[in-house]
Amino acid sequence: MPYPIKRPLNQQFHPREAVPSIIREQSPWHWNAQKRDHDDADCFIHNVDTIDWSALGSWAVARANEQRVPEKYWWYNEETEEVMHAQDSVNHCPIYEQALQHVRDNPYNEHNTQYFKIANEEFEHWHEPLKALFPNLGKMGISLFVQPPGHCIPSHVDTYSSFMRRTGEYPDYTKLKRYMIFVSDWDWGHFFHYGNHCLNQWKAGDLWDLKGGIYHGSANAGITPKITIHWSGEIS
Amino acid sequence: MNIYQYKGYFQDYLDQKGVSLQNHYEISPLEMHIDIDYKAIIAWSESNLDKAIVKDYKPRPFVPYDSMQQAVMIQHLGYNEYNTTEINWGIEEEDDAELKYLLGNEAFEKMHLKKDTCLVRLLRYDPGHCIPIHTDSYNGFKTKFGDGDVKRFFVAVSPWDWGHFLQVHDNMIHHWVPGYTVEIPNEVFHLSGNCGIAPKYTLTVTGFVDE
Repeated sequence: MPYPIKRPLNQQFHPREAVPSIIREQSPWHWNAQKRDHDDADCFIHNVDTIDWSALGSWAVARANEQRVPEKYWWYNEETEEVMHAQDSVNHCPIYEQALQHVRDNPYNEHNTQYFKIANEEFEHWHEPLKALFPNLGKMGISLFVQPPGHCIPSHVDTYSSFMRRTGEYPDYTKLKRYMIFVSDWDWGHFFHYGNHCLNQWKAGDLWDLKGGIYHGSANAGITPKITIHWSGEIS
Repeated sequence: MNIYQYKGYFQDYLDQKGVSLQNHYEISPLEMHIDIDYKAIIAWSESNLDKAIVKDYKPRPFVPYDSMQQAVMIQHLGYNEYNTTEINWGIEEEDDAELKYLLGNEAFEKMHLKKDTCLVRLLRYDPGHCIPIHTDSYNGFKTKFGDGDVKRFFVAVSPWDWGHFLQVHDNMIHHWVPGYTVEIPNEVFHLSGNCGIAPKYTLTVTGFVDE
């Protein structure tokens, strides 16, 4: 049976105030969902065809099918009042306020935010060729998400929590960079908004420069997994 | 891969029907705008929360075989009450009448629908929820009014917000303003979802074509 929502829905929620002020100051953005004359689509770079994306996607999905339990999902621990990303509390992380809007104040939970994640050395023979695509990134991290049907990544601004975990450093957002490539072609129900630009009909290999400070999210209301891969690091 | 693990049933079903995203479906002739007071509609829903039907997308014994089959295949892919819950108003006649009043006569004239026999439903999808790919059966409408030339329209109520989307075949629709209206033709696969932080309010209007 459908479950009751935890809190009354609030149409006046605005995500901006939940984003760390340092990111908002360093990466000003319009923060207006109704704005039409924006340049949010300018982040598209080109299609990368030097990797066999279809083979990488098949490898990732096979790995997910073997594993069966997604590594990542968001939920709120009511008892401890902690925002949880899988088994990690993010109460001390810069994503905390945004995630609170998702899992405490809205009905996001472990049942609608799952994804499989492959990171860095877990890429096995794919790791080196993937690393080689972005020689300009220092302290590089690579992660691939397999998002099953029925799941979302709630809209957010990147705060580089994985970078913090990996390096033990608080990010210098002026130096950080993130690239994203779609590993699978667009399919039924695959949705990705980057600011006010909604992406669709993408092709495997399409490369996006995810400039900092722009609100974005994704969903899969279709029938096939949506697969994306991301590179994060410092610009040397 | 055994029959329990296989995830391709829905795609096979689409293939059997010859439905492919490679074929473009032009929806611009089906789009229009009707003037609505969206704040009044949302305010009405909030003051009538106790009358809302809360349901998720799953097989139901009273729907036609094709809809049942779609729902079974979707459930097999991982859709459940945690990602497909819909709150809707209008199943009670008095609520249907109130929603018709809020829409106004001009809306039905623009849609070329017979107002008296129209069914209007207000739908709310909260963040994290979607209605996955499906076709409409008009089952509720036909049970009540019988067969005929039936059309269904989507009407945006709340202004578009980040994370709100509607897909009609290969057309991903977003950035709507309240009153944006599009006919969803019979047999055309469509879906909708919300990965933002604000609830998504829309109307469906189903009725006989007024020649």
